[in-house]
Amino acid sequence: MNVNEFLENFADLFDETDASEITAETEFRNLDEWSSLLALSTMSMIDEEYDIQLTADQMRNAQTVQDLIDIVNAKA
Amino acid sequence: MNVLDCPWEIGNIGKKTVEISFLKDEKIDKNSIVEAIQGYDYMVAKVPSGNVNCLLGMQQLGFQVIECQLKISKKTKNFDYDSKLLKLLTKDFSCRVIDTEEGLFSVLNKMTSSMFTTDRVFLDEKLGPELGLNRYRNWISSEYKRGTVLFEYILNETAVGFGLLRIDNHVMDGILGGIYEKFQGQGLGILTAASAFLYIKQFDIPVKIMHTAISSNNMPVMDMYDYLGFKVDDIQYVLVKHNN
Repeated sequence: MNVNEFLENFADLFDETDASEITAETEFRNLDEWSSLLALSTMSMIDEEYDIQLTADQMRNAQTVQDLIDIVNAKA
Repeated sequence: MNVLDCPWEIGNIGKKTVEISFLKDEKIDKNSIVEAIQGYDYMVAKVPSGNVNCLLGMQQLGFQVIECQLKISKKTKNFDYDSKLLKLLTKDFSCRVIDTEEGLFSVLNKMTSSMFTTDRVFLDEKLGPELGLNRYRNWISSEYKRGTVLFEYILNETAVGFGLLRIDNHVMDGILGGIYEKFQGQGLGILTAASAFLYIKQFDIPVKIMHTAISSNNMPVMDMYDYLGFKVDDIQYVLVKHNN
């Protein structure tokens, strides 16, 4: 999986947050805009783009964008 | 001006409480208000948006704005059960009606103050999270006893939250809902907004429209209702004042 492409897909989910704020190290739950709806949108994006269904536990335990990338890589 | 004595709030928050509400085009009568709030510990005022005369007048009397309440609605025929995000959750979702005292206590025991962090009682430093939770528990119990529908959100056979719903004459009021603390952070919040529609679909209940109210202190919930296409019908300022 292309990490930059994942970062771009993830950043696209946000309306107010500048894409430059999104890196692999970003703790996305600390972003002002983060919400339950964005969590669900993230799961939807990963399903659509990578054909991977995140479990609720995986979503809950992920703290950084890298955690999401690792899940996708492990399942790909 | 309508003045409502709220004796049930003594059991909820331990304060003698009064609620004052105004009409849209009403002018404030400060003397009547000073008289009406005498002897109360906690005073709540609801002012329709646009009524600046009452809004400013109440602030001059020492009331402080704590939130705006948005009354919103959605017609059932326009609800998109196939929305992309909702479908992620609904394939393994069902509603379980609570119809025993044991079930009620189970719901109450699973509730925690973290479920209602944007509630005005929770946020009020003179009241706080524990009283906020106590108020919600009492509210749910009394609604349940008067026949309001209480149900749990079941996802993969696990109860992840609850909803409280009043249905009357093809109109439903979403009174309250929440995701249990253990299941927060997983993107399940949309269920609090959508579960009423999933409930009437599951039990094939004819309903024309859903009404509910949300707080301006809860932006994530506003986003969810916006995503589901709810319409804002009315906004009112909520102000509070404490004696001592």
